[in-house]
Amino acid sequence: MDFHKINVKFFAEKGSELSLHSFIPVFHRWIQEDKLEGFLVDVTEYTHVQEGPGVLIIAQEANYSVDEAEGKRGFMLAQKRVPEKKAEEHFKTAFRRCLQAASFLENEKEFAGKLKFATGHFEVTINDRLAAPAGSASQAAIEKVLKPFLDGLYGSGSYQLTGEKDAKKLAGFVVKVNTNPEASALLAKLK
Amino acid sequence: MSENISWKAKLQDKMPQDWAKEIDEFEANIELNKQGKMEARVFAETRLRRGAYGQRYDNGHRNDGKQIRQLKYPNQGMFKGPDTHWDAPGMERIKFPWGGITADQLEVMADLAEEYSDGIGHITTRQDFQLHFIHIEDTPDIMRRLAAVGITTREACGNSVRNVTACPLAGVCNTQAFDVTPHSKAIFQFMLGHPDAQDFGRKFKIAFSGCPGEGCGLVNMHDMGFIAKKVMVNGKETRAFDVYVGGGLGPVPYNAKLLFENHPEDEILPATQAVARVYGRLGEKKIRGMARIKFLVAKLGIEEFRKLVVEERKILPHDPRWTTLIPECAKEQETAAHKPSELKDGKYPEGFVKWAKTNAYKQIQPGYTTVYVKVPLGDLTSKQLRGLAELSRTFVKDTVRTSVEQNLLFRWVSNADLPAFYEALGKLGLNEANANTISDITSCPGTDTCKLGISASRGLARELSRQLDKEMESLPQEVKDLKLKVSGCPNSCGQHPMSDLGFYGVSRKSGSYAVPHFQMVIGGEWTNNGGTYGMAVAAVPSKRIPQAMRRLTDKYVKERQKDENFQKFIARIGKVEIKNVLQDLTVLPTHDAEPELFTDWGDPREYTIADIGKGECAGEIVTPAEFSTTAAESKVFEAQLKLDAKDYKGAVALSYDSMVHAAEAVIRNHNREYVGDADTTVDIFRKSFFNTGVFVKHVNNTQFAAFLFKAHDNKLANPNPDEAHRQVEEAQLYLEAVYSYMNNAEPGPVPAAK
Repeated sequence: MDFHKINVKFFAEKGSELSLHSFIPVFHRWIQEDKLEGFLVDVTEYTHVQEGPGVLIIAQEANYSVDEAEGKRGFMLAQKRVPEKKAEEHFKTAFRRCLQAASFLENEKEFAGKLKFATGHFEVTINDRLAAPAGSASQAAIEKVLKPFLDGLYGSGSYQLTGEKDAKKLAGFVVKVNTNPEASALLAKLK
Repeated sequence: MSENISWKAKLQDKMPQDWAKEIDEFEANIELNKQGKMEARVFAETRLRRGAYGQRYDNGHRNDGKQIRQLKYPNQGMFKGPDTHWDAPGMERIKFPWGGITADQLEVMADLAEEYSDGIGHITTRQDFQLHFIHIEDTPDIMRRLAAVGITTREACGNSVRNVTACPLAGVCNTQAFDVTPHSKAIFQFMLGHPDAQDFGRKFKIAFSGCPGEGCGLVNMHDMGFIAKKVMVNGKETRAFDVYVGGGLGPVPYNAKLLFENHPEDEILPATQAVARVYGRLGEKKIRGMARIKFLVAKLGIEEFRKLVVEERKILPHDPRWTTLIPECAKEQETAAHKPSELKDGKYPEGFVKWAKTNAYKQIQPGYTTVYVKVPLGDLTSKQLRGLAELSRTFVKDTVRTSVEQNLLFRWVSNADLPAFYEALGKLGLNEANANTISDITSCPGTDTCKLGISASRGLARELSRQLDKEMESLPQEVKDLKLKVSGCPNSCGQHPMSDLGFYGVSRKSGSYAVPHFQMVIGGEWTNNGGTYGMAVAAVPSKRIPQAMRRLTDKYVKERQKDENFQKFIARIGKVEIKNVLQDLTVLPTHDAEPELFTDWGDPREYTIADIGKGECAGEIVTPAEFSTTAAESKVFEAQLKLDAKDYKGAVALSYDSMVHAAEAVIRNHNREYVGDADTTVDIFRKSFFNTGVFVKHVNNTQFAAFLFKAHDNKLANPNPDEAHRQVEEAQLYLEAVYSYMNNAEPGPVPAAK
């Protein structure tokens, strides 16, 4: 099954109170500096919308955002158009890009010590209702690909998956890992 | 879970077959274009007619605040239109005729926003929805998913009949003659893909209003519009329409002219067809800037245009739909989910009373209310769209409509349900009060996503709304009631000409830096179907607009006479005084003195419209060309004063002088020593800058130069008020184009004449 349109969102542990506006200049700077993997196009913002997509970098292969959906701030990557690969590779790419960008953001001078994303608490969904319509069959199919990937990244048995039950929402899981590993350690495994 | 199934296969039985076929054909066109077998220009119009629009930066360049970057879209060399990269994010416009949207459609919009866009569905100023940052190859599936719930994107853009809009209160309104919903539905169905509407030089917009007095329908600004009325025919009350034609916003707004008075209900379809035929046959096709029907009506005069339409009507082959479609559409009547009721006294949820005061409209049907859901900047998240779908099923029966003020209306809410409805909206973050007040600001996309955007209209609207909402309680009622609208450029998509306080994006220079500005347009009228357009008074730096707005509203509160509305107040005090009030705000500091002025709202990048870098010596030197633009500014302002004084000859003469000075500025930009009379100046401009394409290249529009030539070649000896008003507007626009040219033009001698 082609699960390439993957959304990954690492929830914020610290920094939910920071103004969304403060991320706008940083994202523009990232475009100037070619900071992220892939080709970045523009910054767009929805600071006026409650529990919305927040502030985004629109990129060719994925959108990056400080997302506020469901009232939970997090750093999110929404993978869009990617070269043909195996499903596990798509997860690897999405996690690497998201973790790397979240880590960069935490370390920006404006946010030093004020912003932290939980590397062990995140949501993974498939943003494609054709490939993964809501329901138990999709949940099982996603789990089948996701689990081996997470086993490799966090270790087998070190996390719990909670499946999405709302039929209107995207199929996927919230993942809670027993620890919050260092981003650098995870990124080393995702190279 | 589905394996190897496409949306096409999955939805095959749910789409109307003709719509499914059209989408397949469009998908085939995409493939042809990818294979290089279709001219980019042809593909561009093809996709536009399917609602797939270009977006900012699709030409492959973007200013990142430090430099102009070449955007490395993957398939370099592949284009979806002239100079429009294949992989560049684009916009999909989705038509909702008369603004009607069902719960199922809201849910599909939620899914599409999430899966293909950036999680936001955006309501436009013509009751459409838009999705941004879409890839062209995703559009066929988007269209199929929409078609499966009864929506077509056909003719959402391009030179076609666009969305047919209607007052969102139609059917529940207290001032309507009758419900115009069936008529707008019928015209939409009749004109969609109509053979007589396939050869227009430009777009064609139709609107319906149930009454002449309110602003919900905005007939005056439309290519064609209908205002409902009841007339007595042979002693019997009969439904009819006043039919208008030739209105339009764009850079120079035109008031619609009355084409037919008391036109019978069953004659409106053939009348529309006849108008379409005349426009298709005689409308301008080559010069895009002069191709809207408003130019044709103005050129022929309404009497001649009417004569042609009447003649055309006589020779139309009979179409049975003329008389069957409206009654068929009228069969689909709205019903309520709950019985009528009265709001019970008691303890209401916090904020409810304040909200109800501005957001609840008592329907003509006792026991029911139409609720305005205030949607900030017209943006809704997928979660909100799904939540609204639930509310549409729970509280009403699919009786939701979008408005041209970018809000949603829930019709037929039983009065006793209002507190619960308010709380349910609150859970979606959508129970904000102050709908239809000064803080409920309309804005076009501007520099956020529009290719033509000059200034950040959404950024300004967001900031003004934020400031006004904070102090709403303390604002006097006469200020609360003002309409405020913002456009990112002179094209008026934010509908600024019909607001009390309107703004459109322009730019100015300070030294070698560009500074984002908004031209303030004041005194427009929203009521009477957008009955009067405002006039430009001053270009103010974007960051100083809140201050400028405040000065004007404070002055209005302090100095207004009893019961004097804003338009009358502005007319009484005059533009000189207004200009004086704003004068100091228009003076630009140096970049070092006030650097924040050189960025726009919500965008920290150093502002530019033309890849301008920092020069070394232009600094504070005023060039001869700048002197000429200053003279042009002065003349056009004087022309406005003449207009106010009803001296139409004087207004025309001064606006012409302004255009000549502006043309002189263009020449002096390349030859600092140039001096010449009007004939010589226009001649040089025509031969060296227009005929060579040099001017058009930098302003991207032939229309502006045409204003100068029209004024020069056909001097108006006895102008009527409309003609004088229009020429003053045109002079202002031509001057803006000259500024744009001077910001962008390469240095060098005057180009060789052609």
